[in-house]
Amino acid sequence: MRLLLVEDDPAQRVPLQIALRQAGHLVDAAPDAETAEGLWQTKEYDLLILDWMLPGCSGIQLCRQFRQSGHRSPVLILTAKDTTADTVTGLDAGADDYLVKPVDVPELLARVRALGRRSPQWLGDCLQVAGLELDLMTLSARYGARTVLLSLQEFRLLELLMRQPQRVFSRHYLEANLWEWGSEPESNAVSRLAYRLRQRLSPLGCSDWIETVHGLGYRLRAGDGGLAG
Amino acid sequence: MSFANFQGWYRADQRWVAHTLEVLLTTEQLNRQLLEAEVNAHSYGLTLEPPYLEAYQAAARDLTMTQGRLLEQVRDNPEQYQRLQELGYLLIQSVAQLDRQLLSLGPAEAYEMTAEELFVWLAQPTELLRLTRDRLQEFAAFEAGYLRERQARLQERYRWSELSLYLLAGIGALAIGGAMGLFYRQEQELRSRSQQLQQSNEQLWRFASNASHELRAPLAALLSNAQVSLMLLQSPAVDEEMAKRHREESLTCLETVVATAKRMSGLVHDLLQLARAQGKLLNRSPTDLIGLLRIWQNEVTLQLPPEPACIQADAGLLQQALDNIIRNAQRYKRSEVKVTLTRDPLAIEIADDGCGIPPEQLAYLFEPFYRVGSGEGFGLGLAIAQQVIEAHGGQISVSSCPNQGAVFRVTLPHQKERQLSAGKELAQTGH
Repeated sequence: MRLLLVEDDPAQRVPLQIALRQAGHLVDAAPDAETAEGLWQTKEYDLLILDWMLPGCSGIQLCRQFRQSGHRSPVLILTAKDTTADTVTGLDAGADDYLVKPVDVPELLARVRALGRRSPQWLGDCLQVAGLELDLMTLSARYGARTVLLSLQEFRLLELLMRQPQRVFSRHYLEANLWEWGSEPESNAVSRLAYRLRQRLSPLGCSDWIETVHGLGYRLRAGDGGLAG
Repeated sequence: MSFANFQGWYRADQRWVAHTLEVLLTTEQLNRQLLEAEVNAHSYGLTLEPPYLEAYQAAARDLTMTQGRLLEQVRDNPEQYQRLQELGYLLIQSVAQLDRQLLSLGPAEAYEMTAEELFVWLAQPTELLRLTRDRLQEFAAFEAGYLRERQARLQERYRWSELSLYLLAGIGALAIGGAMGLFYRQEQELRSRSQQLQQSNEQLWRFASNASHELRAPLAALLSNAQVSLMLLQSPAVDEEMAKRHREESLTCLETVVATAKRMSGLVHDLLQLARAQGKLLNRSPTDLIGLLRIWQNEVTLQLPPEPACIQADAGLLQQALDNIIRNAQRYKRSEVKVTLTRDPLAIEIADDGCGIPPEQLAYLFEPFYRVGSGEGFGLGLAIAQQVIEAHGGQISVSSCPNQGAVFRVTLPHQKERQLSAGKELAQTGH
């Protein structure tokens, strides 16, 4: 999933970003409210993770602004406040869930997964297209009896392709959605990634499922006549 | 108790009065009986009718009895007793005389007396009877005198009791008024004391609550970094490059753990300093303020007086307080920080030439955990400084104009030379 993490303390922001990335998510980490607002205006996110105590603007207010601008993706609030009054305030402001610091990382990941199920994009913990299974928990791909482990980037690309098997994804779109904000992909990074993914899928016999549509982009094309090409 | 005594006397007096009245009544009875005897005797003498004789005899008998009774009644009064005894003697003589008189009449049937003889006969015992009657009157008069005396005393007692009752009532009212006043004052004091306690309790609660919130953030950092580090080291790597990246990231997280733990230790230290200053646990000794400021002479511009400025102070805490203020000024300075010490009044001014403090922040500057921006210290430095200076009886204030920097002014109370030298002696005689 694409996540937006807003946390001002770098000592907390960095490990959370690493943890979420390890779980296969694409994480944009913003240190303050203004940056976050700028980001969600230009990109789509599947989940927002907000710290309550932010400089200038509180997480609650930020949540309200997010909702007021029409976004319906789920919001998770992290905070040091733990009274029930605070919980009510947070949930009433439009948040979907509430975690008290210090957060237990596995718990955070579980809740992120749970909230991800509410997302309109959710299609289950396991993506399946014509016999090719992508396991979202273990970041592995399976076809028949064989399983291969994917790197994060390869996994994300395959996930994107498998979620909308009919769609042709342009290079530009892939660059915007497969790299985190703050990291600039090189000009041929997409093609290199596609190449690597094909390499990775070859033991499964599915490497030709990644189809290059010249001039337009890439698309998932199931072998064995599963889908019309 | 006096009241009980008093009641006893009162009742005794009442009994006396009643008793005296009784005596008077009996005396009156005696008088009447004597008169009756005399009248009946004379009536018989005149008419020779038997009923008169019987009446006379009855009266004579009663007379004796009444006299006996009266004697008993006045037994307690020796004077009256004696008088009554004499009177008794007279009464006996009178009755005897009357008897003789009657006897001298002879048998009823042979009665023959002329008016002249009758007149003579009637006049016979008059002297004695008159004397007796006079004595009786005297006796009654004495008794009446006693009665009046006792009644007067009763009246006096009564008036006394009235007076003392009024007095008691007055004292009682005063006492109650005084007690109520005292109670009221105590209640006021209690209320103000309990208000103070409540305020300081609330302060304590707020402080504990803020402190624990402040500690949560570094704790969260510790937990996340440690857990992520574990996760990275335990997760399977697809290739060598990924494994290397995992290791590097894990190292970074662990370094953050160490740095955060040290930072938390600093926070705990500051919290303890604040608690010490708030609890006013000071170890005072003669301290030269110039010495405390000279430490900064390479980093700030110092303006110090030539003579030493000594006060009784906790050197460690005061040094920390001044350091906190100077460090704060250094953080915001543009080119220099100026520190000035004046002896009279005893004051230290710390001025920086930075961008100044906005007026809405001035009010919160000395609050614990108040920070301008995040991540720069814990927001306790100035709070500690204020507590320490106030614990020493001094004051700290700040003034600032936008773009003209800020000036912190610390004033400390003067101390008499005697106090100082006494302090020095104590220090010299050793602890």
